[in-house]
Amino acid sequence: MKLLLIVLIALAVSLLFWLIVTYNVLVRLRLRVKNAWAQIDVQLKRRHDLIPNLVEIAKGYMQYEKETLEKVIKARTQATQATAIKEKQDAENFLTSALRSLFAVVERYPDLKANQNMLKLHEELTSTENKISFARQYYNDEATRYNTSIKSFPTNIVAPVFNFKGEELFELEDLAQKEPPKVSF
Amino acid sequence: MPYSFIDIERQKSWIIKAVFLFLVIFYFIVAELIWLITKLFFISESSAIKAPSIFSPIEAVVVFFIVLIIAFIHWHFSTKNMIGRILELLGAVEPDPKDSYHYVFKNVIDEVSVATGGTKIRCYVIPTSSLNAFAVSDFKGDAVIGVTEGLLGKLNRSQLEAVVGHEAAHIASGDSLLTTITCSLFGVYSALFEGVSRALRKVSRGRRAGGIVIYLLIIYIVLLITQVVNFLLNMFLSRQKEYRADAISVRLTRNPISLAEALYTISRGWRGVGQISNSLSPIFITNPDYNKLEESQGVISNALSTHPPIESRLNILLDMAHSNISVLKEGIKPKQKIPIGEGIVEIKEEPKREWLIYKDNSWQGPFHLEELFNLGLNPNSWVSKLDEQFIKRASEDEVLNNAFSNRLTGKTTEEGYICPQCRQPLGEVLYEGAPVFKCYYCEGILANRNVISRIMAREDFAFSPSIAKSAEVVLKTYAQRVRQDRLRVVYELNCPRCKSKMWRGFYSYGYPIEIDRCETCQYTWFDKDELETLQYLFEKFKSGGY
Repeated sequence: MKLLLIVLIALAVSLLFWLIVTYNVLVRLRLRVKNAWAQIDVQLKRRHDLIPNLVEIAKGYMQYEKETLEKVIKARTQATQATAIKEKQDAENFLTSALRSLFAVVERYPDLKANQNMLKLHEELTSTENKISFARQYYNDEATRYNTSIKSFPTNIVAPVFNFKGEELFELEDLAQKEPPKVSF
Repeated sequence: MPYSFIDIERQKSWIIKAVFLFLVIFYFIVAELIWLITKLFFISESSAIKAPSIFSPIEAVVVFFIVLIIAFIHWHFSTKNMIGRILELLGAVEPDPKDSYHYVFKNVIDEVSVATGGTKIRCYVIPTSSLNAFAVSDFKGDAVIGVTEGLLGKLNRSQLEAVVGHEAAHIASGDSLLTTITCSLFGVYSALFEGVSRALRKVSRGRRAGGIVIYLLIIYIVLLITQVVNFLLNMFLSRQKEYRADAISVRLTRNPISLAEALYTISRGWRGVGQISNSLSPIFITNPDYNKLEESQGVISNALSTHPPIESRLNILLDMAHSNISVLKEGIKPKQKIPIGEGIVEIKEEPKREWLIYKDNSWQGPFHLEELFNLGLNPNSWVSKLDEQFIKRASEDEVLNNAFSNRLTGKTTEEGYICPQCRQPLGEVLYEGAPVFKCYYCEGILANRNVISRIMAREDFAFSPSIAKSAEVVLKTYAQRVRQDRLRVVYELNCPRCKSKMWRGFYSYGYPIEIDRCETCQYTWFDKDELETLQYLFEKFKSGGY
């Protein structure tokens, strides 16, 4: 009887120990995901801040392309107002395509293209776009790691108890990449 | 896979312990051997009859403690300011934010840092036209990635990103800490070692080979030991870490093709980074010292070399991208050069005909100001005002000089540098992405020594036929011109910065272009086209046609 008691106590203690460790691991993973998300936000904000400058410089050169510029401004306003992940994704995708069409138009204005400020801004935007995609990649990696750990056995039994829910992935899809590649023979 | 700072911290402690342990053990073996040999020497002299067991445990313990102290001192002084000393040895400088190439490099570093989850990385540039990149980091988590100027000029953005990703992988996985420690413990002494062995040879050849030789010999032996340790440690720094860093780089940038292209380009170019590079080779992306061993496979070369053969690295990367080497070679195109356009100067109106100008070997005029400019007046033209009857340079006249200043087509410098020829403020412009000061009239260029070395590494612009022609003439007339000005020291122009006289002479004997150089500011004045001519010669030399 005494032996059974000892075994039971040992089991309970080790279970408790396992619970503490699991909880700590999950908290750490979730914090990392939060931090990764903050990184994306920083970069997105940076992009939003750059766009007014871009429009200001482009305005002087492109009198006949009001539509493209307005589209960019509208996309930016939408993107800054979005809050939920899904909403943000759509707004950012729209902004990316608007920017892409703007730069396609810029190609037609050699003066604008050679403008020192424009060159600098273009480099800055390229860099920010890259940072966004890297930050997103990092976020998705961390979120996947976190999701995997709360869904794998035996953590999946205790994760809901401590209110650990899976995180959504952040997909910034390139609309151009979604089209099937053209094959010519 | 270690990925974040938390993981690196965990790795750090065992790396430090392992290297320190290695140091102590090695020192102990060497010291004990030396002690035993000395003892043997004395025993055989005093009491040759009895040869007791030479090894005594108590003495070994004493030796061990002495060794521990020595190792600790060595460790303490070598690991102080590791990054700073290595950067100094390599001559690396901080990037210039005004320079467009450096600006892109800084951005790329920031991007990769985001990809690793916010690892803080500083960036440095080595002003040489060779192709290489390195990473160092220290205990405090300070990390530096550096590339050569040549690499910035040669690679495109995504290739640069792949290379930086590779270096960031070394930092994130803790490899670079290990290599940085070994380099600071032993690598930095190799320059000293070479110096001492040279001095030793010189002294021993001379007649008065006395006490100095013994001192030098002792230093030589100590340094020799550090070299051996360095060699042994490099054996343990496996080639595997390079493959692993390539893999992490691909994971970060998701772009194996760019890394393969970058490696291929680097392997085709010259990768040396100065004389001491060999001892610091573990920190570089490809071995700065090309040798057969590095490029061969096998047990021995695997054990002895720090970098795997480029070919097998390429094959692994190309496998990831389902591509092969011939596709890669076709894919790498020489960088497209920007054709040179002619500048246009705007002209305003102003009447009153009162100027004579000396042009085409005769005095012409009178003209008004506007006509003068149309005739191609420049600050160096000889002019005369009708009512003054006095001949002077255009720049010496206040009215004309102000007119020149008003007509400047671009921004002038905040520092207020003045063109030594035209006495007009110089404008700050980008020449191949590097900030230089240019006169809007005579098109002369003032450039810092560091900036010139950057420009030499870059190949943005195609050369106009006239430049090519004049450069060839410069080369052909080299011999005559050297004989003429060899011993003459000529001071002609005033330095735009410090106003002292600039020395006129050849850029170097390899590049016989006449330039004006200020010895105090380290700035060089190039007349129109001279910088382009220099660049033409430099590129010709690089491609082997010189």
